[in-house]
Amino acid sequence: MNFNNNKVSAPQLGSIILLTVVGTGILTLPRALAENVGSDGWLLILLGTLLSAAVVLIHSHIVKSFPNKGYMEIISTCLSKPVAYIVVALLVVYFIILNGFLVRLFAEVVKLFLLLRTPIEIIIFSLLLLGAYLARQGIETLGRLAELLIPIVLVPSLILFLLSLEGGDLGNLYPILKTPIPNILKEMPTILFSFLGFDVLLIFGLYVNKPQKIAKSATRAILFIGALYLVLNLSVIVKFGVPQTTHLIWPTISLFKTIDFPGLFIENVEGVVMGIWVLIVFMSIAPILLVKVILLQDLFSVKDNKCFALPLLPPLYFVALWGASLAESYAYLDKFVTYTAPIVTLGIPGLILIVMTFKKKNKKEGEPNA
Amino acid sequence: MMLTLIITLSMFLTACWDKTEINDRAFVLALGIDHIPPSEQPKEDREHKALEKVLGEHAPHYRMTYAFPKQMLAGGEPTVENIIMSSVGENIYINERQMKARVDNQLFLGHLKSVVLGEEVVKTPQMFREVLDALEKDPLISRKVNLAIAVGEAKEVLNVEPKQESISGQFITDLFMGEDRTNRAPVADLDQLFISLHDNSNAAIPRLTGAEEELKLGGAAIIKNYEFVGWIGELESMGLMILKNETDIFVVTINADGINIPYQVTEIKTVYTIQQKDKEIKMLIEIEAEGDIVQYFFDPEEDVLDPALLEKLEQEVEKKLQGIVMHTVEKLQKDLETDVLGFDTYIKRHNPDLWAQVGKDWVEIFPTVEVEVVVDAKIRRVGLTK
Amino acid sequence: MGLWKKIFGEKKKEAKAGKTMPDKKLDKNLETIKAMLKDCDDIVYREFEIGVDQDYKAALVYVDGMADKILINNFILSTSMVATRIVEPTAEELKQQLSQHMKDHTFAVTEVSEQETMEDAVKFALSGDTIILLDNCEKIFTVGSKGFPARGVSEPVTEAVIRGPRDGFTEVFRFNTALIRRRIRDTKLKVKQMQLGARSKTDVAIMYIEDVVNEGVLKEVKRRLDTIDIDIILDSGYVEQFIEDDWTSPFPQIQNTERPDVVTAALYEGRVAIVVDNSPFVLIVPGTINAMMQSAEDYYERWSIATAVRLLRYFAATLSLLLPSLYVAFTSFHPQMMPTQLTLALAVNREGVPFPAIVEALIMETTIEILREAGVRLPGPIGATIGIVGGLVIGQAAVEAGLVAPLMVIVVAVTAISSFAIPRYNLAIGFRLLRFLFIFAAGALGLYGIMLSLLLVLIHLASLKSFGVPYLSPFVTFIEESGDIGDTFVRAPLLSMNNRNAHVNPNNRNRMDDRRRENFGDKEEK
Repeated sequence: MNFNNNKVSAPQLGSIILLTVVGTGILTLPRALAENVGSDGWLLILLGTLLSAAVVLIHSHIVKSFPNKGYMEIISTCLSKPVAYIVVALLVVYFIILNGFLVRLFAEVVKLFLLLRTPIEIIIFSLLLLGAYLARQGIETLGRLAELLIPIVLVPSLILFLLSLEGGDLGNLYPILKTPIPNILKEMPTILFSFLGFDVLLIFGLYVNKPQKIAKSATRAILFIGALYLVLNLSVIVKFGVPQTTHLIWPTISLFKTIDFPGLFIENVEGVVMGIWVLIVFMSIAPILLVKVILLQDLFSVKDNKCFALPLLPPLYFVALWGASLAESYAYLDKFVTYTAPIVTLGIPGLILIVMTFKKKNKKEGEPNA
Repeated sequence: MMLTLIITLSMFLTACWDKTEINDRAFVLALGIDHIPPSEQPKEDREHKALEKVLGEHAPHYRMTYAFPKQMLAGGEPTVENIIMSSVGENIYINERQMKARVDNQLFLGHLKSVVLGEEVVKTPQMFREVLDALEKDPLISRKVNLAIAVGEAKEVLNVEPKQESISGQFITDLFMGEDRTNRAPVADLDQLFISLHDNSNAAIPRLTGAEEELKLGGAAIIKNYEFVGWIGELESMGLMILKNETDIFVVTINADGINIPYQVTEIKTVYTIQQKDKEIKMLIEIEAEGDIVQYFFDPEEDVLDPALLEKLEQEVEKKLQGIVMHTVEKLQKDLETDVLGFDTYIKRHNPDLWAQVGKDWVEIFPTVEVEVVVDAKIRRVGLTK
Repeated sequence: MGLWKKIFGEKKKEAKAGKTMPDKKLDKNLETIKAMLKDCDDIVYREFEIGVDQDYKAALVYVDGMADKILINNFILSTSMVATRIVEPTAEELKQQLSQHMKDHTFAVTEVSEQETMEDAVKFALSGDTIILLDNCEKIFTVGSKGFPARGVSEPVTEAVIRGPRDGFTEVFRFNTALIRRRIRDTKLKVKQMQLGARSKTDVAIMYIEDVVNEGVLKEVKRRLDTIDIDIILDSGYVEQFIEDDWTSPFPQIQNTERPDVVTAALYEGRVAIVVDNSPFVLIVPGTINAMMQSAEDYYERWSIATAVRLLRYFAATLSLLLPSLYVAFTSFHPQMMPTQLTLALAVNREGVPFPAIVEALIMETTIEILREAGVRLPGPIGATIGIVGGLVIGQAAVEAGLVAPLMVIVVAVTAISSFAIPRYNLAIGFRLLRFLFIFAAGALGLYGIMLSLLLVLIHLASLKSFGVPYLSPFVTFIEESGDIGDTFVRAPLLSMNNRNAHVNPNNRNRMDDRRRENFGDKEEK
């Protein structure tokens, strides 16, 4: 029996990854794809899924190779201690900024669809408070919550997708494969950003009770996300067609708003949609909050990490309110992500991987404890 | 922890920014939007004149008409009253605010079911696009709202007090709804219209005509490049719906040997095929119809189950359907020169290479496209007698 | 018994310090007892003489009303006073081995034991046994003669079923263990007894199936029970509150039941039962929310029916938690999310209601809670009447007075009924409490507030553990242990439930072999 509070199972980690990633990408992905590659978005999603799965495999390999070591320890063994301090500190800043923007976008949607006159500060504040509560409860609670929410979120979503197909036009998927390949490659970053968030794997990997299973669960989560994005993208295109999709800021919500359900108690399913949506986005904000808490714990080498959850809220709050408008927030986020995300998801792990193989070689050549 | 608890609690207890009780709202079911010609615009009062220097010139050229049921207590018993109110302003939202001064409940567009645009609005592309964008942007307004164009002014149409239903907004909505909705006007909720207009800026929008105590939904306004170019009649609307696969059940009357026979279509399907010869584009439209003979003749001389007779009747049906469809296509091609038939979409999807050549000049090419309509009608049932 | 020793350690040798050893003299011993039980007027002291020549003094002590007088008269007093007169052994022998003779030849009762100290003997007397003192003998006998007034085995009130056994636990500790033992003729069923409460000395038994039980849980149960140091234990509710994981939570983390069949089933799932004297409620650990949403009947009816009922139950639980708050959110914040016709009807209905929806909801919810509480306290028939009269009359009057909208009355009534569809009263109470949190949240932030509160509750539930088992099991482990879903909001056919639930982590997961096929599976081929 496990009476401690710091172990999650591999499928729970997979669930965390799934929800973390989906929350960021699900809102705007169909529009971004429609704008850039028209009706060929599905191809891009397939490519993006495969690529992300590959990156996830790298990440899980790193985590697996350093059992019982936190991310900071991994970095310090591979890249020396001062570097580790700097990198982890920067990571915390990175996650605060990323998270803050996400909170802002979320709050804007809530404000627009649910609470038109409520000050956005209240919306943000209440959400962050709840996130801090979860962060204080620790990784095990997060893991269990994620696994619990997966069916709660996915089953109604899939039903909604099915319902939204009514009245759609399959012809909207034509023409197939007419986008020139350079265009597709140019849009690879867009799709990769909608997979952003799986890097929590690097930090949470330490807490998995069976590390050898991480790779399987994480890849499965990524493939699942890919499938979900695919369904989402196809539904939106089938329903709206490319020209209309490019005009919608939040095509996913608009898609669900067209569902007609005469006679049911909830005539328009908007309530259900917003409800699920709050769950999804919360679950992509909360894990990153916990990531920061864990990183800070490593940074200050403190045993109890509960004290970090609340002090993190003010910076997050200010980042969230940084952009004057939604457009500005989006622009900031885009710029920020374009420059930093590749470093965080690929750069650092890549460096670790290189050092790892290098050291392994050294070992093979007979240098003990290199 | 205690502190956050206190903050949260106080937040819960003081917060109610968005709270408006349901009985304090006025649920607008139908909205009429009219263009006010400059001569009819209300005279500016002094207050406005003074402000104009600061605000710049704004002509209040919109007249919004709101139709909503108003709940009130009459002698202790709650009752509902049908309210129709109009207001004039520079844009839709200013009007909504202005109405606050005249309605004790808060106007609420979340249950808006139909929007009626005055003829003049669609004749000014500028206004039409303003209105459309307002409707598309609003998070409260559903994309399932029906849109119709009124012959004349929208206010007149909304002011009609229908006998069958006391709430006029509800009545207009009911005209659009239901299984057996009319096939004499195209289907057009905002969702479809937006998609169509975003696609090629053309659309067919149902026509709403008001008489003294009645309203009639039939025919359609054809929009080309966000501008009204003309009406099509009820039969033409039917042809349009057949072409766009939007109708299933309707009746056409054929005449054989002096007998008027109604043929009830139960299933109808249209398929486009493109036949290209050099620069000449030919659209082949194949229509397959299935249906019943619902009436023939009492004690007929001929057996309705006789295959030869059925064959003859089927040919009559085909001729009739072909006539309706061909007439519609011609009207749209030659008179209105507007592609609401979806030819362009079809080419875009199934022949993108051709579209690359003709897409730019499609407005000119469309009227010259040769169209051939082939109808295949089947009689499946003849009722209880033979 | 190796396992037992391993877990609980050697039984501690009785500390003799501070205890009075029996004296040779009968009078002295009797004095000691009388001193201990000073001012206890319900104690009966009976001195008598035994032996052929009536020359041995003896005495018995028991608590009037606690001991079975007929048993004492017929099988202790009469055998000692009459039968010893015609006894064969010589007087000399008797003098030597009186006590042995009395024990082996005279007391015609089953439970006879010797006590080493006076305190122990008195403890037995206070639980209904009889102390027998013999002159010139350093031994004290206690004879099992419990015969106190007790309620008989009757139908459990809180967990009635339509189909299934109707016997329920009573207040008598021994009856309860017997009711369980009666169902399990298995040498692996272990009953370990201890006494809790520094003064009340309440009997507590830990019951488990040796080769099925989750040993971690067993060890933890023992450890936590040992931490209890209180003067008196009145009900298993005391024990529950002392050993539960999180006492701040509104959710019960230990299951209690009045039904022996439920305990039996739990034992074979690998759980541990705690039987407490004086309480008809037996505790089952670890408790999960899933187990508490089940009723014993689910397993006795066909699986399709049981599944439907369980789905209904989960639906009812959701309703009882959310319905009033959804009403508030939809009417006050998001009328666009309701069907138009309903919205218009509601707007008309609510016209003239002076309060905002949240106040309306609070008034009605509080009223219904008062009604419920009053109904529980009042004697049976009156309670039911109060419920009906109160509900109908107040609801009707409130609507007519224009205080609340008619739909609100429906909402409150449905909510109240839904909360009674939750099989466990203490779980339903938790839901009721949280309902008010949801109403407040909905009143402040509408649907967003409801979703945030829901997340809050879910986070709390996810953080809960009962004896190392996540409270939300198996919903939080369904990917790894998908078999466990067969016994959650669905009830899989018994035939397919081959394995014990993995989330309880039992020692031995195999439950049955499907022999149906080999016995009558080939019917169609013949």
